Amino acid sequence: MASGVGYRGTNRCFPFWEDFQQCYFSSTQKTRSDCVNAKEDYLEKHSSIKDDKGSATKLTESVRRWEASVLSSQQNLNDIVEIFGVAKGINDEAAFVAIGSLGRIYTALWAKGLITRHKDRENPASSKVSDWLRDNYNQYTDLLRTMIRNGEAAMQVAALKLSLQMLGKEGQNMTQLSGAYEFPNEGYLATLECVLDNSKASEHLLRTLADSYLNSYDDLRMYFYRDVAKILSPDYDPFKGSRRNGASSSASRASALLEGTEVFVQNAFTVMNMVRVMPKAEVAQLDSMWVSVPEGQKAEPAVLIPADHKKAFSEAWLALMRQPMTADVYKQILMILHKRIMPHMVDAKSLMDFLSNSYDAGGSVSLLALNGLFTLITDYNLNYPQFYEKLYALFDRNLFHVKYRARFFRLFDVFLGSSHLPAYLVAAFIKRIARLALSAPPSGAVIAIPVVYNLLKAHPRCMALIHRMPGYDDETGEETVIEGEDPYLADEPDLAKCMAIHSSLWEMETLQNHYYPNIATLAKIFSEPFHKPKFMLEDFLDHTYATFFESDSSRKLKKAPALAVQTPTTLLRAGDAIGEFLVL
Amino acid sequence: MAKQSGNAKGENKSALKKLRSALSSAGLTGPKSQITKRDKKRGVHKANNIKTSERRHKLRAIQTALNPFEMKVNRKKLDVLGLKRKDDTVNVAVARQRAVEKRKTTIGEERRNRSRLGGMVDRRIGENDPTMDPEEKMLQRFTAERQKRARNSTMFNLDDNSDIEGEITSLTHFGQSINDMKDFDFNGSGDEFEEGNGAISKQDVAAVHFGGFEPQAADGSSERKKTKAEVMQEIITKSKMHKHERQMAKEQDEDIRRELDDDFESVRALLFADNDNTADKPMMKAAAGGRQEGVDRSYDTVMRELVFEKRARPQDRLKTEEEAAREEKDRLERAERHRKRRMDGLDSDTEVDSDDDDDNELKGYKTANKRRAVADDLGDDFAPAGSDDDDVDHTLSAKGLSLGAGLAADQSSDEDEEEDDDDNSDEEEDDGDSDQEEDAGSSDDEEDNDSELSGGEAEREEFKQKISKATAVKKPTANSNEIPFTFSAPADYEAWLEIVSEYSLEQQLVVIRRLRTLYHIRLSPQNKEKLSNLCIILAEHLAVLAEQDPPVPAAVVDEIVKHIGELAAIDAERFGEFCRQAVVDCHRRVTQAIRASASDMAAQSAMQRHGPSASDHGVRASDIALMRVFVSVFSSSDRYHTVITPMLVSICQYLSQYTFTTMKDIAGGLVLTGLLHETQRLSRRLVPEALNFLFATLAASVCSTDDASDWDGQFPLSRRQRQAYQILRITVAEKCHSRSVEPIRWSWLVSSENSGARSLTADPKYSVLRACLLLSRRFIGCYFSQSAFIECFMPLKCLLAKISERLPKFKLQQAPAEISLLLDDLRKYLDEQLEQAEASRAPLKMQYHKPLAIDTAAPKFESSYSLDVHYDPDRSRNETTKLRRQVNREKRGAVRELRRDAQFIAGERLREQREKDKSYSDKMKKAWGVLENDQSQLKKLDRMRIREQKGKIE
Repeated sequence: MASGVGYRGTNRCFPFWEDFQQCYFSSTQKTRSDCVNAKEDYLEKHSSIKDDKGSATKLTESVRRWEASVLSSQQNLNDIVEIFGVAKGINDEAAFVAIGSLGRIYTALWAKGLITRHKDRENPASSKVSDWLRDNYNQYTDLLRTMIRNGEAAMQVAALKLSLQMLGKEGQNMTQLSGAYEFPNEGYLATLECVLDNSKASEHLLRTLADSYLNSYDDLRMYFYRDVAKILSPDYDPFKGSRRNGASSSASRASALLEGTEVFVQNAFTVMNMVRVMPKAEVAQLDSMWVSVPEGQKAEPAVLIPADHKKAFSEAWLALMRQPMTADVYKQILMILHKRIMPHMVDAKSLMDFLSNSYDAGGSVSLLALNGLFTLITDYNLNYPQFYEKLYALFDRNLFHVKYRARFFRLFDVFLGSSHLPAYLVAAFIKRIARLALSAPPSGAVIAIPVVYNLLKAHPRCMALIHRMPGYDDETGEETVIEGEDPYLADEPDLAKCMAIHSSLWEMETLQNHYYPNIATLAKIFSEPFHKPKFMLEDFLDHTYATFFESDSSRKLKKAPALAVQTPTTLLRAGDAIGEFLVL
Repeated sequence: MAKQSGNAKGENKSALKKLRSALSSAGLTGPKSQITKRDKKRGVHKANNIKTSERRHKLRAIQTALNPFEMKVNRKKLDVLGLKRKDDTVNVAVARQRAVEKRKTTIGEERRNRSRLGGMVDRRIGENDPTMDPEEKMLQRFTAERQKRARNSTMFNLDDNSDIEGEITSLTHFGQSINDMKDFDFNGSGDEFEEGNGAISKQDVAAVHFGGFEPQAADGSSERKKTKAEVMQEIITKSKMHKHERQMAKEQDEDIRRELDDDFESVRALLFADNDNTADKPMMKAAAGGRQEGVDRSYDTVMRELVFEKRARPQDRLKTEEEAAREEKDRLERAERHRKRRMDGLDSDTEVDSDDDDDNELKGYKTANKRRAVADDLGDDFAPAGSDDDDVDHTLSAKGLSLGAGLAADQSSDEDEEEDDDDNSDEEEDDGDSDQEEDAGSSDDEEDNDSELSGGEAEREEFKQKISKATAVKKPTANSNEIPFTFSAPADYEAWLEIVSEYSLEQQLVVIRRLRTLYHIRLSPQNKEKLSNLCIILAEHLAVLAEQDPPVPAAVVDEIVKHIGELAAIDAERFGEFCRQAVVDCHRRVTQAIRASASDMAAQSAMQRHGPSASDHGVRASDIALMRVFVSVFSSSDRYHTVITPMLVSICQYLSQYTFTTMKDIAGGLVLTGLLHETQRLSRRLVPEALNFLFATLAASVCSTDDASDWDGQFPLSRRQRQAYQILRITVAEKCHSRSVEPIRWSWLVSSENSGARSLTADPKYSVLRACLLLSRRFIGCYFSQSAFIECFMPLKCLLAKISERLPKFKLQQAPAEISLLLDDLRKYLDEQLEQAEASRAPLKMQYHKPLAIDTAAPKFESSYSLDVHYDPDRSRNETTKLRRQVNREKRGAVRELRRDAQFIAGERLREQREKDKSYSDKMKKAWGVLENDQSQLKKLDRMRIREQKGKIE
């Protein structure tokens, strides 16, 4: 570094280090690592510059020179054009330095108030200068956005930071001029669009946006939500102006739009998922602003009203949920819905349609939607007709195999917790669970057995399922003739008509003969007196093949394993099932 | 009666009046009949005497009648009709009197004798024993007498020299001890008798003949009478003499015997001449070389040999065929019983000794088996080793089947070699020396086989080098086929490779046999470890052989399996540990494969490409082979088994979570399903994963891959798997080339050449379909007795219907007849079983046990409560209370007895004191009387003297 002293005595690394210092000491622990990353990038680049590209060194040196000259005197404003040239040039390192120096220049200019357009009749020259500067500034912000859109990760982050910094200055300036709070939303919107509607958006970029800005500054967050909602609204035209470069024909536009939406939704969800801060009802909390609110303002700006925050939040999420999305995002939204989205919404009931559609979708989506729906039903008084029928329909053949079974059965335990449920309904569920347990892996069967036990224990009328004396019907008390045929109709979706209460749980008896000894032992409880009041379901939910295998293979060998009576004489026993279809 | 009359007469009379009236009414009081002197003389007093006993009787009656308090009435608890009880009423006074009398005889007696020291003790037999009747008494006394006499009769026992001085007098003749008289034999020296002319010397006559026996004064030395000590001395010397004679006789006998023994050697030589040359030699030498040198030694050695000679020992009776069969049957039955217990999850520990017995016996049986086999082997090996094996090797190497050749071929084809290496390296891992954690961490990424650059590959590289070194050694040279007869026992797989690297597979078998002979377990205790090493090595070797691409001939594999099966029993614990480690390794690969297949499929579906990497994971052929061996070596029907249960979990996880994309995977899956069937063949436990996989694979032949609803059944099916199953779908376009369906081949499991399964013809699809059908039938047979059989197999019915509906439609002409036959057969069978199951199924009665009593809060009510009865429901507490009461009662009784004793003693003491006092006072009175008398006499005399004096004076 010592060699890089500029001709005016400023180290050419100085601005970067300044930035770095500022970034490093003003940021939280998390974002600090970003600064460090940027520093490392810088150092790497720096050394490569030194090694390979003398031109880059030269360019950066001249950039420094120009910057210094612009800052020193208003006469040298034309050097900005030179710096622009570098910034737009092909040399990335130089461009990186150039945009940094431009940022500092414009910050200084904003502070001097030079950029603001004046309709100054008296001094057309200064008006002209400020107009020129203004155009130049607009060009600069456009350049930054292009960099966000196309650049590599480090460049993207730097550009985003600069861009938001510029916006802050601009907002400050506007607020000063008008005396009331003003947020430069147009630029912010454009920036956000660049960030979010960007298939090349790096994880780093999104994380920077969420962590360094949205989580820290209330106004940025609120406008973020507003803008997301705005961009996603159907009447929003992304092609007004010339923001998109490659959109020429309408067909490619449409496809680009579709693809873009998917990317946008993905990115927006990622960012929104990372935003953890939500203002409470107290106004006092809303104090960290990117564009500070002037004091003594009469009408409170929206950024200070929590209700408005809430509104923006709900609108953004609702807009997001209206979009077509990938299954992955869909599931993730459903997973966080009841805990992190619904409590902050203005009216959670507006999620009703979304949730019921998801619930009807079938498969694991339905399982995940159940949680949100349950919150709606219990907390928001939603009346869901035919809830149990739909719940019954959720018991499909994949249920015990999917990842979310634990989550589902936790809820299921709640749904069937009432002792006032009719016996036929409970019996139908029991029978269905037992039927599915027959083809379930051990990790599923180990859930099914306690669930069935709990249900039987809580609804003694269903005990007929495991114990039915001939000639006596539990329902009517009439004499019945029991035949071998199972009266249960497995395909009947109507709980009342599936006749489960007249059936028997042969499945559970068969599970007593399961190959996995623990399951077999557990299933034996049905043959024993029902002494145990209730199984704690939580103990059974988190089993997998891995845990079973682990527990089995780590058992100590107490004595030698039992050997077969007949020692084998061939690889395949005569009469072996394998021998029928396999030839060695 | 008296009591009644007393009661009836006067209720308000006083006791005295009552007594008086009772006495009078009994005629005891009142005006006494005048007994005159005349009467007395007539003997009336006699009658009066008779009357006294009557009188006493009457008096007692009155006494009892008058004092009701003396009568104690015992309460009856149960009134039994017709039962007379003695102690209805007890007279307390009488009882007390009796007790007092008893005390008089016991304590009183003791008391009286308490200060006595001496006295006579009557020791006559049975004198104080009242239980003996006199006859018995007499008899015992008689025998005692006889015994006593017999004891004394030893005096007449001439043999007994050990007379104790003073105790018994020896027999005498003319006052001389007979013992002394024996001496005369010697005195008259025997020599003279022999050498002389037959005349008896005068001396002798004098000494011996009648009239002799006199102490001879003439003889200087012997003229005086011998002292007792001298006599004794002589006796002693004589007895010594006798002893010496006896010894001499014995020695002579010995000599004769020795001679006999020597003769016996020649006889024995005849005995052993035909068979035992080595045993013969020393003996022959002994016979030839003369007896003088080392006869004894040679005799001893021969003797010892004889002792250890098996044929010399009487053998156990050979078991008859019947007995042997029965024993075998018993053994099998016991083993089966234990197996059943384990199957039910009971520990066979309850019969622990029998179990051990069983094990030992099993072991013994096995070793016996081995012993037989070994002997046979030895016989086989000896002659043909040189020639036969040569031939074998030539033929084999011509076919290219030998391991060396196989490996050499492997070197040429990169892919296979890599796989082989991979496998070998894994087998090395099995040894447990490599750090598995690291390995697991490194091999998590799916490109295990592709990228050699990832971390932890150095180890792999090392193995690769090792294996390539091993393969380099394995150049089968035509000349080096002579198999040596001895080998050093291989300690690990590498050592094994060094030994067998030069030999063909058949020769390897010979090596194994020879190793087993050389290190037979009976020969040395160290052999146990060597053999268990060998067992593990063989298992590893089997795994390697299973991976060979032109598959190893079944006979070789089978023999190795047989050896493993036999050797496993030697150290079952160690082998079990090894197997478990193998299962753990396999499970690690399974999880990797599942993860890799998931990510791979995701990548595929996204990019629509089918990379070769997809075929490289999945369970290996070696794993399958090993697992198959485990199933047959271990008791796989156990409810819990330390090797089998984890293995089952691992297989099931594979079947349910892996995405089967290639024909290799599917064939492997089917074999594993067959394996699962084999484990449940006896225990018939439900394995849902096996059924799911089977049905899904079955359905794959006809069901549409795009439409999820087409796949009816209970089995879960991911979209990914559904799409992958496309390769099994039998479509119209494909032709089946052959008329018959060929079975799945082991090579499918090994090679990945089938990975381009998309371009497959229909043949393998039909093979898979056939395998599925066969397996389905097996599983139907396995599970038909389950109560949920219908639920499990009803979907199969629909599926089969669908298959038979769709299959011929497509391929009426191409579908091999075998499939449709099989299909129809299976459908019929399934229908039958389903019908039967439905007919036999009844509603459950799982809660059919003793109904539980409802807890009640009502107090228990006793209709006839008694204080004496304990109503404690706790049995043991009740028992203890009872015991405690008993103890208390006894204690109280004892205390009472003691108190009475004390009272009695006090009474006695008082009585004695009184007697003493009385006698004293009497004595004193008497003395006083005498003295007073004297005094009075004296005074009288004095008075008289005074009177006289007065009279004189006057």
